[in-house]
Amino acid sequence: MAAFSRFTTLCFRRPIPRRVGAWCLMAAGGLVASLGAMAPRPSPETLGIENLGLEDLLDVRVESVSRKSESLFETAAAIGVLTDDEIRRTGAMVLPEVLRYAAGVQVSQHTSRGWAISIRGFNLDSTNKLEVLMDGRSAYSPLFSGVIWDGPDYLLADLDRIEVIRGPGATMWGANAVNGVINIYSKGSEETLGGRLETTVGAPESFVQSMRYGAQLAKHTYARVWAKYASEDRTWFENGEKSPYGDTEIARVGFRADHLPSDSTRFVMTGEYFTDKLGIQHYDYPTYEGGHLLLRWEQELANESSLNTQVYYDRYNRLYLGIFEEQRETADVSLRHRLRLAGRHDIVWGAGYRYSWDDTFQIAVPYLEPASEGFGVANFYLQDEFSWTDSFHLVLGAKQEYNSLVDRWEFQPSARAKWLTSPHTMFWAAVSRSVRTPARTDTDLRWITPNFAFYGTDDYRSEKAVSFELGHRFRVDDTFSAEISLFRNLYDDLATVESYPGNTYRYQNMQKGDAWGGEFTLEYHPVYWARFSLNYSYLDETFRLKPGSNADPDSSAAAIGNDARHLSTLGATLEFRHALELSGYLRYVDELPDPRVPAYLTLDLRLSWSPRPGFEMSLLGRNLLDDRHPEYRAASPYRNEISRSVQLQVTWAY
Amino acid sequence: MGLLVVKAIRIALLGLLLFGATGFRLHGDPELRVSPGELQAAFILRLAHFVEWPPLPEEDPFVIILLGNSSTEAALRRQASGKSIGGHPIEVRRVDDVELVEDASLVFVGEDFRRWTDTITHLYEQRPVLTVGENQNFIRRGGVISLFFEEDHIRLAINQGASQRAGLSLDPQLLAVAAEVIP
Repeated sequence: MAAFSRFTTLCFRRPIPRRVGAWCLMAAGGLVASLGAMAPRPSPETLGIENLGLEDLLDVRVESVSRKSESLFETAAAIGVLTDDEIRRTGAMVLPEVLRYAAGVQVSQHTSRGWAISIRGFNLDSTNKLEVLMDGRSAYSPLFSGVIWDGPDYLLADLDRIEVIRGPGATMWGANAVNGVINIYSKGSEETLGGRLETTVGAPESFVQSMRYGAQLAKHTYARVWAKYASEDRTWFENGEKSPYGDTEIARVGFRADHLPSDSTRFVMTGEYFTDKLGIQHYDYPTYEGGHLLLRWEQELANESSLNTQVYYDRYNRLYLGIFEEQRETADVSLRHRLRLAGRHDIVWGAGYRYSWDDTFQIAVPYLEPASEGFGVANFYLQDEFSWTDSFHLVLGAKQEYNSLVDRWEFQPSARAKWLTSPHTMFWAAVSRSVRTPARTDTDLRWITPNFAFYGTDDYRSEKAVSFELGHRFRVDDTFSAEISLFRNLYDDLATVESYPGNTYRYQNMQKGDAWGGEFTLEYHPVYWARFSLNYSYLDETFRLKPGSNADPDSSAAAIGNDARHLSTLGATLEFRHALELSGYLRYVDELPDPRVPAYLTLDLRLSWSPRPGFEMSLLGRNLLDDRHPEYRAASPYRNEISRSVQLQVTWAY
Repeated sequence: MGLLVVKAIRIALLGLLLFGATGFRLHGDPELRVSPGELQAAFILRLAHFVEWPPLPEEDPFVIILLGNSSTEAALRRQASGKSIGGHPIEVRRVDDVELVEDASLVFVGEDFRRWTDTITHLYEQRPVLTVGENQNFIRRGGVISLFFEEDHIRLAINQGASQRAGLSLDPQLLAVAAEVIP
């Protein structure tokens, strides 16, 4: 124990409490105990299914590990998935645009390449209560605790799926996954062999050219390289002028390699380099540039167990237009082990460490003190899904996380129950606690002018949430499925700006919040050539200042999120002969309260023709119902508006 | 409220862990399950023995065409190796375009070729080719046999009319085990 203390002190500059040491030892014990079960999966040859007769083959059970749709139905959380087909049908060329069609996700575009995206409230430019993972890499910036959405991007055609978890995902995905997690998965390189060229031309001015080439390099090794170039200049101000910051140019290259020596082993390597120019009239050099390298080993073991381990390095340089510049490097290592015990426990435990260091440069008034900082986040989690009976499962889990920026431990537990009343219906309920840890701007931001002084504070507390959720899923095979999820979130220690004598202001945590609402989704596939979907979400939030606060209640509430009460999307896809497909989406986003943005209804229509695999042509009309509409920010002559657009896309694969 | 919830969960988690620890065995319950690709491949090879094709020239192989990328490919290649159907050695070929393959006897349409199902079934309509698809609706689009998964079992659906137009004869045993048969 003493040696352990000394080791942890070295890593985190303080000793780890004994109870955490106990957790670690128990988990290690679990790992050792399961070593017996660590034998790799039996190979198909040993099973001899080829010798079985018809009736026997009908009785064979298929493993659920590969059955994603099955495991989604049984998940005790509000989760939605956009499949590769659904991503294609949206006609979106960039990741944030795809998310508009996911249930319960509010997407408000504020500039040419700027989106405010959130789930269940707190929508801001850089929403800090949503974790986003791109093939296992976090897109969440520790500078200001949020995701800048021009960052994560990919060749959308090579994405396998996007999972949207609405609600706290803190236990599995860590702090800052307070209101949701967006998990983006790309296809394995063995699935994207051959070349693919895609050209998209749009009016008003937009052009996207992407290409990919995938090949088998060796007996069990596959790889692909891809490149994407996009140029656009199509944002207008409310006063009718074209926005000079709308002129953007992005260029990305990346690769993915997969080595699959057996059915149950996969090694993945991904890398990317990007260079973006946002607002070219003003900046003729990249305003966002960087890249990453990631390595992962996925191993399936006997008895539906698995072991995943991953390491990645990420760096970028970002110019926050006119405000300041940030250079950041991140290194992350993580491990995840899933095992079965006693036939009734399905345990997942994991550990990870991420170190991030930055250099910031002052340009205008605001700056960070210290200008450079490095900090580590260590986490350990454990989750057990216990089968009380075959149809009633309890899931208990917790994540323990240490953040050295604020020298603080955060405990994020969750308890869930799920009841599969029949193969077609299930109910689930959950209670969780999650936390949004302070960012560099919360503690280190300084804004000093002759008239006022603004400071972040060292004793800035983590924002906290306790969530209560209920859900129900119902399906009739492939034809019809519906689900409803309800939530009540109680927030504490929400950010406020408090005033002090001498025109001084500080970030503090003097607000509490109460939100409730839910999401409803329905999918109907009556005949093979028609599918319909409907989703609707509702959000009701109230905030109140805590006693002792001298902030203004209305502006404090507005400062932490600008959220629509109602969101709804109705979608339809019709397939005709000769691989002709028509898909449409009618989307409604209710008004944003403060700053006020009017509600809008839009229609997107896409017609696509693919006479043979390897060739597709599509015509897409977006925002067809009005000339232009704003989606974010206070009314002003210079508020950006999103306009009606048309796009032609040609894809050639060989 | 939050603190109480946190404490309760901590205790429950500890309890579960101890319960689990006392109940574990070094070797977990070895309930063997198969990958969907393996099961599909085994089923395709098995059902081929219940279908009668017009006689092939003696020298010719029994050609199975796989359209598109699927997990069934590797399994089928391995399981079919060295085997025969009706005395003809099996040859497995992967094709990535929608074009007529003259010597095909069985065409398996992978899920990523679903969009061109109508074109494919139309191509092979009047030919002695057994078209097999991966989703239940395949038989409604002119395919002869659908192999699909219901919960964690494989199931069979048959389009009798399509099999007759193709000049294939289906053994009644096959029709008996089918989850769905349409005329």
